[in-house]
Amino acid sequence: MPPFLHHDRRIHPGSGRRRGPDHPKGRQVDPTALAEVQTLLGDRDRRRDLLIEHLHLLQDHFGCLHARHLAALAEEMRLALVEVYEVASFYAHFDIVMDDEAPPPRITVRVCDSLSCELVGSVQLLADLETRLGDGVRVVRAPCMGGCHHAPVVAIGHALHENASQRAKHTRPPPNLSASTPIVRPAVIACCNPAWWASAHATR
Amino acid sequence: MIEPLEYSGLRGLGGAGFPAGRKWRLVRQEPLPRLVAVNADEGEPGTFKDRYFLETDPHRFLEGMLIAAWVVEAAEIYIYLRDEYPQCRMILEGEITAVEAAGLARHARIHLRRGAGAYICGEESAMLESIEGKRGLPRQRPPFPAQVGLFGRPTLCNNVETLYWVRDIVEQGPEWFTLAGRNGRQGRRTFSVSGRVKDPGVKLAPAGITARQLIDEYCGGMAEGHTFKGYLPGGASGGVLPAAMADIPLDFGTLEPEGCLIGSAAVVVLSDKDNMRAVALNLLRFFEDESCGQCTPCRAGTEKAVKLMTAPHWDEALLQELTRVMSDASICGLGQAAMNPVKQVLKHFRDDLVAEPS
Repeated sequence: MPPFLHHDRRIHPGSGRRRGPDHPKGRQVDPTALAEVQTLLGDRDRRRDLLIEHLHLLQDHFGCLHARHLAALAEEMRLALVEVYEVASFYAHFDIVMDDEAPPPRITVRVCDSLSCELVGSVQLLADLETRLGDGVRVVRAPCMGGCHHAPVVAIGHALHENASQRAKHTRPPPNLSASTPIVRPAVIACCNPAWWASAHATR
Repeated sequence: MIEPLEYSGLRGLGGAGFPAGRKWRLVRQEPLPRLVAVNADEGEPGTFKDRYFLETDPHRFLEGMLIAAWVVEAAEIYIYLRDEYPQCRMILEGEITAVEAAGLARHARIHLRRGAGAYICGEESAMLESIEGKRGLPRQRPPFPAQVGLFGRPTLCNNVETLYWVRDIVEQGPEWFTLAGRNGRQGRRTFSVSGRVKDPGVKLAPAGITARQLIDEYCGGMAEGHTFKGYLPGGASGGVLPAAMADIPLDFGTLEPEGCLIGSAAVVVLSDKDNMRAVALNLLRFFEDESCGQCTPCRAGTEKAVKLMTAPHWDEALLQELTRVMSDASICGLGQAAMNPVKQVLKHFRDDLVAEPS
């Protein structure tokens, strides 16, 4: 329950009977989240211009930006929560997750939907990936990734996979290509294995 | 140092084409402390030349950058690298450490900053905002970044490729750069060619080469089963031209009379298999996604344009009016250039407007 509802608003503030709130206004910083943020930041500078760098640290480590960590980061960097939130919500590579929401899947596959990739079937590639990759993988469209000469392109995490389609004109098609052959190159699917990602993350 | 650069005619190769030597001179006239900000946020659809240079020869770029910092007496250099290129970040982190260890960067500290997936941060002033840790909202000009830039200080902003050519111009003399060029133009240009050609990729070619020469001589011609129909001379913002106009020299200033821009020299080649209406819609969807939302003409205009363009019949009068509003009233280049593809499709590809793309 938000803090202001603890008090009976019918009592006039000037009456002298109103009790002051027992904690500061706004979202309270969770001590655990603050400790996590402090550990992650280490002795890095808390300068304002490093905000995006620090958000990257959180996003890379937790796979998303939890609201509790944003509040803790604001406290740690001596910024207003809104200053952190407006930056975090501006950039496409940050995923804000409210505290009662489930975090996004660990693996994000970004399918380039810019012109050179769309010409060689990125729309079909996206649909194919969505059906072939199950839970634990999120498939989203994304703007140009600078692999237009090897279109279509996908990024798994942020790692670029060029020539992701088996049907693109300038790649060597598999010998027995038929209508039922999947569009996406098998190597791309292999790189999206959640078990492999989980073990890679555990050893990091 | 500035003189050979001015004489070489090297221009800003991020897309704006401002003469590099003049920019260095302008920044030098401002009071100390001055800063350098390098734009490695290559986001223009179809462009991959900076990636190519960073992956294949990062030292040539770093050398140009250090020379630039030395010339404008900047003690701090900020490199703003897009988050889509983690491989370039690894390369640069290693090479910057090596350069510092070798004692080549005693005059300036190098900071490598990571973008976070925003096309607009390739716009010079939005990039500065982002380096300051804020949202990438472009600034009103004037004042220009050369006067009031990063952290309010005079800042030299250069693209990766602009700095990449500095070493060669110094070593081989400015004539080496000017003497290249075709069809009456001077200089060298790096084209990122993609789309319906046999051999797409980064093509180092003389400035002023025509699209037809570029396709035939550098890209092995059109892809199998495709007939040349049109091309984007400069990525998403540069407009679209028909094959009939493929004999215009590609350079700064040569395409403007046709309502197009060379920009970052990202040439996307289109064929008879491509519907131009669908092409324009793809580009406008991109601008809708990437508009930063700061100014109304662009935020509301790109959304409105996509709505109008998904309708079975384009409301041409309304689209033309929208084009005028957006190009006149938007703060930055994104909104000003966003309607270029629409304008050009209405002008040159009227046949494609009739049929709903499949």
